[in-house]
Amino acid sequence: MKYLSYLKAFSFTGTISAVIISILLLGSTGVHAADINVYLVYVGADKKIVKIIRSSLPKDLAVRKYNASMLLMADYSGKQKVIAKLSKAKLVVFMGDSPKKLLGQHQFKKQITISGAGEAELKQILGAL
Amino acid sequence: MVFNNILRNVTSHLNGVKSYWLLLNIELYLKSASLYSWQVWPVLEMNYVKGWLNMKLFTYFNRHSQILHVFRVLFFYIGAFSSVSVSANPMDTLGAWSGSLSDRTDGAINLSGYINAHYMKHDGLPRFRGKDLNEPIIQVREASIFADILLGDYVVFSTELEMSYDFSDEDTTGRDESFKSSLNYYYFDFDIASVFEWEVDEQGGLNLRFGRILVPFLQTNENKPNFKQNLMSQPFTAWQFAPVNNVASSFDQFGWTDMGLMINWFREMDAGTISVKASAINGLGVDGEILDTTQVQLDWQMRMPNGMLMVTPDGDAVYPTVRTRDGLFNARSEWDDMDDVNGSLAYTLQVSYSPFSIPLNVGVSWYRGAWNSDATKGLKMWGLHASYDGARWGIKGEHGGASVEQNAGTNTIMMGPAPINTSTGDYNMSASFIEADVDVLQYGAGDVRYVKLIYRYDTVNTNDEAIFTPFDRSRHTFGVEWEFTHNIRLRFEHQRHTLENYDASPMPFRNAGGEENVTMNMFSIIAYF
Repeated sequence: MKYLSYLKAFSFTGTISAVIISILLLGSTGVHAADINVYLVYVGADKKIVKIIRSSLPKDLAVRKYNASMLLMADYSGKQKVIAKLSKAKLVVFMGDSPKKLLGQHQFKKQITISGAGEAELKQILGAL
Repeated sequence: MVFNNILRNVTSHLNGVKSYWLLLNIELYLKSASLYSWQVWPVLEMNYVKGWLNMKLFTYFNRHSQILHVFRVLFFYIGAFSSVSVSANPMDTLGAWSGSLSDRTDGAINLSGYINAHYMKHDGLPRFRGKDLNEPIIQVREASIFADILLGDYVVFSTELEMSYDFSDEDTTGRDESFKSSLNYYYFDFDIASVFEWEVDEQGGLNLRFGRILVPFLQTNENKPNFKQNLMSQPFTAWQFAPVNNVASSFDQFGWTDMGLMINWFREMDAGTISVKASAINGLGVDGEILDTTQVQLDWQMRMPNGMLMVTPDGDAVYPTVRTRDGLFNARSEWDDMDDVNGSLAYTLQVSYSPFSIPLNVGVSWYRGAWNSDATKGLKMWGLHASYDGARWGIKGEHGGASVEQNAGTNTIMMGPAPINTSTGDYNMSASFIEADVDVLQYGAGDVRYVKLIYRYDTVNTNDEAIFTPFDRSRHTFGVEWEFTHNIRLRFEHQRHTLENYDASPMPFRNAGGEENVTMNMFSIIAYF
């Protein structure tokens, strides 16, 4: 509380403006999300399988994962934000049907659904890229 | 095509109630002649809505014909949507357009939205001067467009344009403008974890949000759109307590938003995910000596002890002005307020947990701030929430309490019965609800269409009472929802409120029509894309 109260020393709106400028500068730097090759989308119960898949995929692929169970705790625009983020990937890989339901059955340009972490699933992912 | 042109020409020369009835007959004729196809219904709908709009001008429509009208509108939509192909579903069309826009901008601009309209009728509420909420209310309650705009790779700008339209007479709702609009929220969201490529099961995810944000307190506020809820009416925890929505008379800006900063950290644990949202915001507040400031004039002329009507020296009738004691909504800032009544910040904290094994979300919330202009009076709030969202059924609930620091004394409101307008000093508020829903029928491809039954029980006590507050009450709500086509739903709900301390209610409240039990029926249509 003591430290937060230092915010009062500044105009609150001014503080927010400064943060906006800083973050916009930071946000425009770094690795481009458009470079993401694969987004692995799963529910919490499948997190171990997804970890295996990720470690089995070639290291030169830019792979990210998203736990769709998080939407249970997100606000009502959360789903829209996640869809926007996933849409930037070249391929969206769903681990089963559960994450699709949480995302409102949204159809991405290129998506596949897998059910395990075996050879067949890895081939399916690499073949779809 | 020819038929459409003929229909358009015929209907364009008609207006108001005439076209409304004519179109109703045409609609029935088309149905009977099996000519009712996707090529026809948009024209019908356009003119039908036009007729409905013009209905507002025809005061000879009494209460019963309005009810009849609402049934016809509902049946029209049911008939129309159930007989058209999926490709003609307006929500699918909007969704396709939104997807196309996103594609054309390489995913930078993402739009979504929803609309809901309702007919509602209360019985048992006291009549106010200038508005009688027992009269039927027809409104497009919310027509919202959400925009999520990607700025670079890690920043999203989000906003919601919310509009509403009131078809009811001004004397019914007291609303000064039929059309209202606001930017409910507008903020930047920065994905810090992605910048540093943190793993959600190691360092966790971290987002920073700033601007006008949805206040992370309890669960309803961050899920306020009606397509995310089972019922149109929001629970008491989101009305008198957390100021998410207000009363039917002035539905305006749904959602408790405020200027501020919020940090959201979340992490996958072994058996579930934990989420922590902490914010610093301007906070709730009012100018004046009391926090709960909403006032109304009861529609009952005051009398002298001898029974004679009370008048002012100018000969004007005297009506009692009272505080409704309806909670914290009046302490909420307007959507375009950058500052609040004091320079003091308020702070919130919400901690939620969701196990991997079941679709459950449980959490606690906390709020602390000063509400008066010199920041000497505090407001503390706390809450618990839980929700289980299964494949066929769900259950959820919230409970919250608040403590308000306030001076004791008589308010400055004149001409009111003293006990109603007296503050008793510091006071506590509480509100709770529990709600269950079950899909009794699931059908269609993927079982996406359904019929759902809903029951909710909620209770509230806003306190700050010397003798009586009408918001020490409980409520049973029964509802049924039918998603009859993709992303479009019909709802009906019936409410029965019970005022817990009605025996203590003062004479002006009763004489203005205030009853111990208040009922409400509501039909609504909700569509989203």
